[in-house]
Amino acid sequence: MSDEQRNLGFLERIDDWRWRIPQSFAPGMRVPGLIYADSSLLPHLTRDKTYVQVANVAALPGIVRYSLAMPDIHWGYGFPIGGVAATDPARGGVISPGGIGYDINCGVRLLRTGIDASDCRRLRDELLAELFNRVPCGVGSKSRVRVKGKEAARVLTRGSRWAVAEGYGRPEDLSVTEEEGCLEEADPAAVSDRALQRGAPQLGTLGSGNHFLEVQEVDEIYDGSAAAAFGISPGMAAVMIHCGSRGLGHQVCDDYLKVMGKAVNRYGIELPDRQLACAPIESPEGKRYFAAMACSANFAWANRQIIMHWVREAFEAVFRRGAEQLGLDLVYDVAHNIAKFEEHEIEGSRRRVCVHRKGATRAFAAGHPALPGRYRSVGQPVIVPGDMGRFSFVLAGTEGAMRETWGSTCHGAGRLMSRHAALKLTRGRDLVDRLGARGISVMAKSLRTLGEEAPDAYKDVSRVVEVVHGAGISRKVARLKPICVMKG
Amino acid sequence: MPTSGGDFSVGPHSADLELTFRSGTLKELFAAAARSTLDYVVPGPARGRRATRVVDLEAAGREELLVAWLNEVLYYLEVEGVKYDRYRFRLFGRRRLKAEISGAGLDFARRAVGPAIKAATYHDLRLVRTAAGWEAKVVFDL
Repeated sequence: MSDEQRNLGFLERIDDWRWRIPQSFAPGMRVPGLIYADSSLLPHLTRDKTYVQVANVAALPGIVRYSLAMPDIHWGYGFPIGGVAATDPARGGVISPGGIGYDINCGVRLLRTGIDASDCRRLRDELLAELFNRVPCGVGSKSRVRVKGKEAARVLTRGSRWAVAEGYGRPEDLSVTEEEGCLEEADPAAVSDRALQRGAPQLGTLGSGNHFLEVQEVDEIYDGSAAAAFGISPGMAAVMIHCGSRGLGHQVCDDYLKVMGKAVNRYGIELPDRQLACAPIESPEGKRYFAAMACSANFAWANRQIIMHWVREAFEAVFRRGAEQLGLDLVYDVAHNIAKFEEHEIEGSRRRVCVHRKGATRAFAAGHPALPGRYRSVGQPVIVPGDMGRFSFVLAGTEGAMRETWGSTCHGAGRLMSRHAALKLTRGRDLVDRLGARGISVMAKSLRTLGEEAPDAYKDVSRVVEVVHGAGISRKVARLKPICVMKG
Repeated sequence: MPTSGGDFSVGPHSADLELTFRSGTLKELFAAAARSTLDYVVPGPARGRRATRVVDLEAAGREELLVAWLNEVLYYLEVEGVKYDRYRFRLFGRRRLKAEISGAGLDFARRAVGPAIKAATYHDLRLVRTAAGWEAKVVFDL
């Protein structure tokens, strides 16, 4: 047994995939913690004491059943990244901006294509140049889309619907977007002018850091019937888009952490970490935050919808055919930093809870009424990006997730290494050469950011996916591998 | 990329960015922290149009004031494209600060930059007096 495993002696092993942090681990825990991991991923927990953050979340008032951690869990601020918690409004449950994060509705969407991956690989440099030319990215990038005043408010209230009405995409994109790309509870009056000033010029920009745009090849199919329902087949090219609500969400989170900092005193809430600042969901502060968060979520959906439209245009320019002829159809769009009101089965009855997913993806099972008709027999598509050198996955939601994790699963690989350590190991330029030698083209606005995002900085997403599949909280459908990667 | 300097160092946070700042006085620490944070995103001097503005911030305490201060300069970096790296504090209290800040504009298209910092967070936030002066640890979301 390694030192790291010995240090985790407080964890109770439930089975090969599940580990419990007992309530006795830390004072103030209202429920136990439940971590999904196998023996290869577990040691990462001790390196940065992420388990303490799982225990801290368990102290939130009104938390139900467990503080959950997905296998891509890593050290965050307040909540761990990979954390899921449901709070019950009827029992004093709180909403915490720290349980959603600064990048509200950071998420991923996947487009399938009718194009052979080999054709994309042959034209990858041309394709990458077109994408880079059309989709603004990196620090300080500004969009070609201009929204102000009432138009900006419409983006916040209508999300993807606004984008489609403006000609960015097709009406059928909406049915394959989580919540159809719009949370109805959005109220622009809850968003500060400061947040709008920060976010509005960034509508239609990819951002920087771990956000990316990647052309991929469907490499392996694990579940033929689900893959057929999702329209995915081996050798097909696909496009993955990862970004969020940009400066708008960052500022909404910052604004409301100050509000919540005061609210914890007003409502007598004791917390182990200031970043978990929160207010009862039914309080004026809680309701106002939810309305602002919903605006940011809608902004993020509009953002991904616009970017996807430009991706379609880039493919049209390279392949000299229309996007519909090329079969560039949206498979699904998932949010992985969000809070939502959902009904779940608790102690034999249906109850409405506020599910916080911070670096975790909704994974509703077959039959759920929130799913579009074409996916209702197989479960919700779950898009799980890995790293730019290895794989990404498509999963499907399961009954196991509905029973155990409020219909949630992992959201990615999870970082293994600090950015500083990653840069010591790999320079951006070397990474471009290294991946190029393997047939993967990379274009980035910042080579430094690229170095920080090197594949070695991440856990192996295949391990993460094996855990959620093994634990039954989602199931493997397909594996994708990168052809070309665009980074901010 | 600056990874450490006379008055700051980078910690081991796996996902985000942990910076520790050190200075002889609290005022110097606030100034050094803001400059180092901006340097992390955009290393080197800015050479565009000069800009000056006054910021007036209030917070629940000294640590929260540091977070508000850092988020203020990050906000203007993103919204105005100005690296505000010179500070004249007019009022410097435990819960409020007022400062004239000045800097120069950046052309993001023409220079190498790092990842954007979304915000300074309250997680593991620490501001303490040391034998040599003051020290602060701040975790930033990237």
